[in-house]
Amino acid sequence: MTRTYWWLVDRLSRMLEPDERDAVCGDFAETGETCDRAFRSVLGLIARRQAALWRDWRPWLMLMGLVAPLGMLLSLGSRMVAYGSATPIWIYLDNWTWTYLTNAGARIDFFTTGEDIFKQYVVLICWSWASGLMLGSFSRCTSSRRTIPASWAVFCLVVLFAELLETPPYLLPGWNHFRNGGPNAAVFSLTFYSLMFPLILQVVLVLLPSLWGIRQGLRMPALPPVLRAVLWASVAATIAAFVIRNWGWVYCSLGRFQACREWTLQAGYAHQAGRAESWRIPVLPLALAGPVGYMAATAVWRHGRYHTASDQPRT
Amino acid sequence: MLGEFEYLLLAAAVRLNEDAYGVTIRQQIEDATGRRCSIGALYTTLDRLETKGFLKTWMGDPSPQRGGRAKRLVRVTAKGIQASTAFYNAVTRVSRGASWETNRAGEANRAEVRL
Repeated sequence: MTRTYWWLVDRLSRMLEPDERDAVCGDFAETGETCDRAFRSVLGLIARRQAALWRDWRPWLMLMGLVAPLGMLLSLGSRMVAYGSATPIWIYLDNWTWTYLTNAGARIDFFTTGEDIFKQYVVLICWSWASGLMLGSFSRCTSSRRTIPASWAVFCLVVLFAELLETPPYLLPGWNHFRNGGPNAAVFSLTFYSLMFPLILQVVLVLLPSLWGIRQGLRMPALPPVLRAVLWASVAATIAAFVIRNWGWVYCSLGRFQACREWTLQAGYAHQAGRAESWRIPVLPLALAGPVGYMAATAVWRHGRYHTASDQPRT
Repeated sequence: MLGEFEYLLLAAAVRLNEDAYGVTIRQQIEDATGRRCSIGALYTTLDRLETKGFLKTWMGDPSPQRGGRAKRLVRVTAKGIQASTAFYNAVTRVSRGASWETNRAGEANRAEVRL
């Protein structure tokens, strides 16, 4: 217990400036502070430091302008992906039979469905990562780096619990389709697929990649203007595709069913006989543009730096 | 004008002189007031006073007694001494004639008579 407490104190103290962390931890060592008092002291100091940081307008702008909207859209998008992939996963995992592979028609279905789900998950990971990268680098630019843990905590809460702020799902027109007597009732009557599966997807495909993106955004080297332009153009393409493909879910979450239905038809999420979808964007290539742009820009920068360093005359 | 805690901190730092840093300042304040002084209050107030130019802080050398960590040493500036003096004078002036002040003066006189 004591070791856990000290480990927590150590982890928490990393939220302080390095010099302050040194002074505070040194004070604990000198006075022989008990672990629970040290824990409360560090927590108190962090709370005061955070309160001081949040008196500035920039962290609030970040929170309201980026963290909350991106978190909301990722929450909605990830739940739609989870509901969309739950049925095929249930079919193949809970009702597995070798006929899926031995029968030629079933085999094609199996691989096509697997590919579709895989693509959807990759797209979601790329969207989450790009959102994280944007949050991280904007925080660095607006010198609100120390507010990132609090912003990320809000982001996690929004992603995981945005559902609670929305129209209850049983009011949605498609709800019966999911739960009561609809063709997918067998899947969504299971607590795992209706509750746990979307949460697992949100943690694995949204929160972890976004955290990774934030870390990379915070540690991003000072790139030359051309590389920076390439990187931000590609990240902007990813974010734009993400927003275009998900903004309409807000209609559904607000209970504006007619607008929601219209949007899903236009975006190609739903189909209606005799009506073609109005627009379609290449989702996968645009989603991959951000990560690929980042890898290319940092690789070129590292390569250039390596050559600059090796070209220096040795003294 | 200083706040109460700011004054306590400056007074403790001046008394401690070369030995003024987190642990010793906290100890002085706790002994003087009989109340617990939190690390959060201490370090945020130190920052505030440094911003106002009332004191200067710097990191000392790491010591084994502190688990290899450095101290944040404190020195009160001339501006800090001026502000503390002004605060003390104001408190002294405003307390003249107050019951606790006259009682205290009476106690001091009785102590002198006993001597």
